[in-house]
Amino acid sequence: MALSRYQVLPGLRAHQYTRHSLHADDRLWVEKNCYVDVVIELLHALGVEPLAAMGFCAAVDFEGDNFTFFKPQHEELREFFGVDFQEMNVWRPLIDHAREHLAAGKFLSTEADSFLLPDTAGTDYRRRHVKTTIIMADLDMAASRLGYFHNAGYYELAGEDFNSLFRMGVPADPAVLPLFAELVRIDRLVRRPPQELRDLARRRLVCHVARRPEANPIHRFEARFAKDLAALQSAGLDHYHAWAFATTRQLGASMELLAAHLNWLAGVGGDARMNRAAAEFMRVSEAAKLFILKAARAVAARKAPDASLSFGEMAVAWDRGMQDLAAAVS
Amino acid sequence: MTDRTASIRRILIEHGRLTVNAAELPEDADLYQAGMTSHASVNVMLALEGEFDVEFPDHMLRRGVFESIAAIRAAIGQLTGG
Repeated sequence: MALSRYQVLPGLRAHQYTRHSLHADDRLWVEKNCYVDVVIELLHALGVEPLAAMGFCAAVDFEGDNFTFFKPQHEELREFFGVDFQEMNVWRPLIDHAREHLAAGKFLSTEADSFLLPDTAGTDYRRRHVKTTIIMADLDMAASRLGYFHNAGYYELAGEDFNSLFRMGVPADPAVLPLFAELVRIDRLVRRPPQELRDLARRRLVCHVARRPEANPIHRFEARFAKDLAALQSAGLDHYHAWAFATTRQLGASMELLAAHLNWLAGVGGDARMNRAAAEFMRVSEAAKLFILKAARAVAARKAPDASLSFGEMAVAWDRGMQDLAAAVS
Repeated sequence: MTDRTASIRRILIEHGRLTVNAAELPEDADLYQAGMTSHASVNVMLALEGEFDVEFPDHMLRRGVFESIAAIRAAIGQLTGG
């Protein structure tokens, strides 16, 4: 009988899966963005420390209608862990690519529609079409079942969702463009001792800090919010949620990740400036969490935000944090 | 069931996007475990403020205040003095 099940990591089970601590319930932003979330869990499942690869958050900037949609640097994932992400040319049906590469011990990362992902029950599953990223890890052809990493966990989908995801039994439609996909090779996986990983991460952090925004991004965010508020109020709450995900959530979640990275890097009894910077970035993150709720109120009530809806604390904390961080890596 | 609890359950049904039936959820059950996302919790907060004519002060805009029916009822009670 032909092999019909392809598991990259034998033993991975959705119902037994334990998330990384970056996705624990007590985090301010349990889910950050779909790409960084899925990479965190992939690294965790591989037995390496994702905290090492979060230094890139120091370079997160305000881009007008977005904060940087922050993604782990592929070069760093290769250097730190031997995990190699490369874009894959989707030139034939996705199911054929999945069989080929999972059988060869490679993960397949692909854009997907949350409408088909049962782990989004309560939000998008069978309600809304939303682009997200999954990493395929376990393909069972006989059972029409897929094990996949998504957001903060590892899940399974089957049956009708499986058939829709892979467009099984549907004639190829030239009007449907293939989704972006990446191959993830782990044949050179390396699990470094903690100190060696810290030394590597610290060297890379110098580069990330050199790329930090030249001017405080929170001041620019504040000016743009003031300009956009009336339009946000007119557009309503669903539009606000999309805006908040692109802006406030990316700011708040990246600052919480940066703080976690710095505390991990400093270690016990390490560089106090790293810990001080981390505390300032957590202030930014906490203020962003509060802001997302208060700005929702201002949008829903269509009234001017009250005086406490201030960016001042966030901006000051960002400046202080970056000063401490720059001093720590100089 | 008190009117206040019934109103909270109705708001959770309309805005909480839980994966279980909010009408039958134990009062101390964790709403986040029951599928409430941070996105949905914003809508729940706004609906609660509208329903009970209150505004949660900053120190109450935290996860713990919205984590169960009992916690929400306690917070509303604190804000309305009853």
